[in-house]
Amino acid sequence: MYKWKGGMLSWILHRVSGIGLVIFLILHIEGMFSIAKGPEAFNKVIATYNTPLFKVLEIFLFAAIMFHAINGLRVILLDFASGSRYPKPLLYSTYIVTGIVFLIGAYFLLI
Amino acid sequence: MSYQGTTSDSGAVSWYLQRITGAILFFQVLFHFGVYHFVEGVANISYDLAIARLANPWWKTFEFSFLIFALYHGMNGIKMIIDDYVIVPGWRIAALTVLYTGIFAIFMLGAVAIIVIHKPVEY
Repeated sequence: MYKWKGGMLSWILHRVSGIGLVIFLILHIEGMFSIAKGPEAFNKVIATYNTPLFKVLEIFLFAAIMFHAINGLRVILLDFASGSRYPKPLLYSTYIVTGIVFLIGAYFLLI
Repeated sequence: MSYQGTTSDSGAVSWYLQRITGAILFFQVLFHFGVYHFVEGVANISYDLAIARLANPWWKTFEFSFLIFALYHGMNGIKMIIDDYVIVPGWRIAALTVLYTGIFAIFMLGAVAIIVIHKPVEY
């Protein structure tokens, strides 16, 4: 059952990043709800988002979003388009495109 | 591998919806993250900016649909994981109850913030 095949790593990463994004989403909605409590409460949450710790978390968030989005696109192409004819090139390009987009994005997030 | 239960739900509908919402979210999350993290930067977001956005029907529609698609997609994804690993029926029902209740609660918070808020709070 657990034979290591090409798509296995991306399957695990998709689930792990998905769980992480759900946890983030819950915390993010809870944080943004502060807009209902008025300017002080909302701006306080935004100030928290601007601390160095959150700047680091932002990089991880960006990585999780980009992998999940691009790998999810691969899954859709496999299921509905002709992606199943080229599974290997599609899998490799997922990692390459994610890597390139992440490096460029992380550069602009950090400067 | 997944739980072969007595439910009539084959999972086909949620399987399709996971891909449809995923395709929509691909664009929505790139727009959302692009605007707030790259174009504006988190440092430049303020209460006034957020209120101005929510006063605009297009932004309101975007934020509300983003909320629905993201929460549905996340909920559906966690349900698939529960279906795969929580195979004891009692625990499965407990896990799904926590999931659906929690997602509903957080949806209400988001919906109140997006739908109700359309002008600055008066003091």
